[in-house]
Amino acid sequence: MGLTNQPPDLLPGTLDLLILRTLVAGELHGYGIAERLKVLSQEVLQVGESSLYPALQRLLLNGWVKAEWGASENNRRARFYTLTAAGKKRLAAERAEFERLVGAIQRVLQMA
Amino acid sequence: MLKLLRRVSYLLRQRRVERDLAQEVEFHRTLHAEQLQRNGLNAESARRESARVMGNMALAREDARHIWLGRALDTIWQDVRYAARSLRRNKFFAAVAVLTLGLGVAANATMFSVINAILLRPLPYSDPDRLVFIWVADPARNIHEGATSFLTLTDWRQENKSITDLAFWQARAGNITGGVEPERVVGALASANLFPLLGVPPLVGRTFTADEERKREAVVVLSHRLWQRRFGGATSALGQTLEVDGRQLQIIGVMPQGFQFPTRDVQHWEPATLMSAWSSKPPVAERSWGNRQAELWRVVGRLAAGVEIRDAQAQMDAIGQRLARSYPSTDPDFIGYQTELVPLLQQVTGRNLQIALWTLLGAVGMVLLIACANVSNLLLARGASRLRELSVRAALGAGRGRLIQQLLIENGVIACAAGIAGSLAAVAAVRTIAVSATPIPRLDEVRIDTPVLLFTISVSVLSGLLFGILPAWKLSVGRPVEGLKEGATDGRAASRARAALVVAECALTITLLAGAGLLMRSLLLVRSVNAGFDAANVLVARIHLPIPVSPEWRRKEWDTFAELASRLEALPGVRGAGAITNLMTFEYPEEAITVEGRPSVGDRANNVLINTADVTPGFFRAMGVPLVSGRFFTDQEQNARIAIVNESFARRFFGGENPVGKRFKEGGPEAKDAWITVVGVVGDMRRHGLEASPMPEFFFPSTEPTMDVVMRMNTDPRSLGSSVRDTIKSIYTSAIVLQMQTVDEMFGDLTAQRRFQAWLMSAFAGVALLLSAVGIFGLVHFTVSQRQREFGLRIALGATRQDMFRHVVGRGLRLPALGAAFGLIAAVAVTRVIDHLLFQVSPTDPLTFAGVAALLMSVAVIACWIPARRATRVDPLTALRCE
Repeated sequence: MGLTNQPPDLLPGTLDLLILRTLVAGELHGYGIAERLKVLSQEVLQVGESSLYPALQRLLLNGWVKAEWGASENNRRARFYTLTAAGKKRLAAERAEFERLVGAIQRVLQMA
Repeated sequence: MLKLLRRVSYLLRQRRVERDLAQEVEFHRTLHAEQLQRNGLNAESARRESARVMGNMALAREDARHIWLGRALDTIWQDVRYAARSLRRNKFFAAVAVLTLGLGVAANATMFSVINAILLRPLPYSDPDRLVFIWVADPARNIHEGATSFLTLTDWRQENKSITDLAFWQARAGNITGGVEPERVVGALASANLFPLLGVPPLVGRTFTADEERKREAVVVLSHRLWQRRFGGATSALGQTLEVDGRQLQIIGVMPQGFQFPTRDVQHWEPATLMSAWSSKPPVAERSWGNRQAELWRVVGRLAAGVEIRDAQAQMDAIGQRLARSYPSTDPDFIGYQTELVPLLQQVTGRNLQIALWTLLGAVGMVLLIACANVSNLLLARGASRLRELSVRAALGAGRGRLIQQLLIENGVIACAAGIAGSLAAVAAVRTIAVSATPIPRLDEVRIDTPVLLFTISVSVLSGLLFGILPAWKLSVGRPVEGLKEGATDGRAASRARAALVVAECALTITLLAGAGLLMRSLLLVRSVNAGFDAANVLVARIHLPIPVSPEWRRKEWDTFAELASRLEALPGVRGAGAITNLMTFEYPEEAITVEGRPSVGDRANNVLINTADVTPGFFRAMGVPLVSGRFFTDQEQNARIAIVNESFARRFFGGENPVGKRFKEGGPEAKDAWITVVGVVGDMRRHGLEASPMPEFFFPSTEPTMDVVMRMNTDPRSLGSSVRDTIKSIYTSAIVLQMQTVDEMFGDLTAQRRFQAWLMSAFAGVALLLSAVGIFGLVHFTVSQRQREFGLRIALGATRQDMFRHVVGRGLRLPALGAAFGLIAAVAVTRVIDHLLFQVSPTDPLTFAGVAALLMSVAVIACWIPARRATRVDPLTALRCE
């Protein structure tokens, strides 16, 4: 049980970035975030719950998301996460950083 | 920062956060199961499959916690919660430990706040450590704290390079009139550089300049108190006049609150050159500026940067020798040119008080050590019963470090609780002290401030480590196999440690008790000193008669006091009344006398201090001073050339002869003063303090404007206060009653510092004794409960209950006896520190030492008694059946 609980096939910090991105469109509960990630990645990214919830705690601690209890689609009590202003800023920064990194990796892959 | 706040808020709502997480995950699982069902699984397998996918929730929860707290913090937090739980389960242990330590912390915090107020907090001047008082002294004649002349201090100022600047002043009491209520206050004549030298600017207005001083401008600077009292703190007071003894002084400034110089009494300051206006005999003042014999001024100086007080003293010594060569004096009243430099703080607090305070701080430190030893012992005893729990944890894989951490954190929780309890108690104690109005300098400034808080926190933390480390180490020694055995005990090492702690406690207690005993005996001895007069039921009123100066004013003064005395005697319950210039004197008297027909001169040069006072006829009778021979004065003898002398005077100057009818005069043989005839001899009075031996005194039938009027009553003197005031006012309307107290109260004030020391020390020693008793009790009680089976066996084998009782008490007393022996040895070394504070008691007084040892042993017997009784009640059958 590592501190990060990242799925081994993700770059470090990427899970946080992806979660933040899924929340741009609006509030989601944990299950919704996992589903959204699965659908958008065409089932490539299957985020396990044991990494998703610690990641959400981390985002809460940093103040990038906030959580509130509400009613789900079929009227069950669910905890919804929304992006905070700090979270939006963080997303932009992480995204730029990620693209820089991916660009760099791609350049290496193409040239080498 | 925000993150830290979120972490803290997590700690506060940890349970909710974890519940949220669990519910959330459960919701997730439900949705997942529904999804699986939609995909065709039946309900049961969907539930199982979803649960499997969810993985280990316990781990997820732990991960979540680690995210919030970090791993190290999390285990500590776990231990804290565990410790709190286990203390809640053991309420009795927790209460005893917290109370014991809390007592120690409270005593230390209180004592430290007193020291902080009196000794550590800087005096309200700029760079106060460099300020020194420069006194003229003659140690050979036991003269200290003398004043000097303007010429001499000018020489000092010019020649001493280690003192950057010096200022001078003299204090005088004066009557403020012209306002609502006339009052008598002390003011000071000061040089213009006094305020810049002290480095304190005025709150409003300004202080006087050297120019104003030279031109004798009638200006005055007020203290904050006086300004508040007479002018309501209004800025418009500036430019108004203050009428002091009929002189109009223009108010130019007000000093800030808390400023005092040289003492709290002084309420206003005016230029030193106004001195002539003060004196009833102007020529004296005029002469004094150019007269080296006119020792009128007290001097404060500022040491140059980097100069030690020793160096400055050496320079002053050299200057003094030169002055003594250049301006020799034969005047016996003249003190001389030797000086003593005293640091400001020492001047304000006094050396004895400093010693006493540090001694008391040492004493509370010992109390804290004893408290720590007690809690250590409690922990060790508790540890014996916790051995199984710890062994289980060790067997399950907890490392030694982790076990020590857990035990230390438990102790930390106790220390924190004790620290909080102790601080609260200290706040209450400090409040009580601050309003107690004990006449000890700066004690009214005592309060809990940042240094005190820091000290308290460090003391709590330190004590937590101190009492915790030994038990934690002993308990964590990993022997899980033994610990898991039935009926395991914690072994010899731990029981030796417990015994050693009790011995140490008793030794510390004996040392404290010895100190307290010595101080108490000193106090009792001082109080039992025969003052030479009957102090019971005597009221003293200091009365000032502002009689205008005229040819007949002395006569009028005498008559007024005489009438006052007879009117007071007419009051119901008053048996006698009379007046004296100063009932209590602390000044170094400066009298010299020559006895007719003898070459010998009694004066300070011959090591004889002689004191004098003016009295009215009724004084001695009212005070209960015995008449040894001759007679008292009569009402008609105002200013007659006669005197009454005391027994010391008679012994010293007339040998075995009866001095009545003999004559002496003031001054040396060449003095032109008229002869004075002795008409009576009275018993010695210790008017200058109980701790000094009586000095030769002579009394004149005369008065001063301010007199202490004494009244002997049949009943409690306090009850007559208001009728005394009315009587005084009815005789002389503008009379001012400056002070009214009983002689007992006056003497109480004389012993105030002694009482403060003795009672505080006794309180601390008492706490130490109580803690030691608890320690002895705890140890014996524990031993008895551990040896139940053995005792049962012994009784079964024929030991009588009496044998058992004697055995337990005998064993129990061995440790305090050993502790007492060590303690007495330590006390011999330690009590020497308080030698200065003792009165007619040797620091190794055998009676006191034997007494405190007996006290400790009898308390130890009581502490052993109860558990020993329990040992005799062991039922052999029950004890043996436990097997």
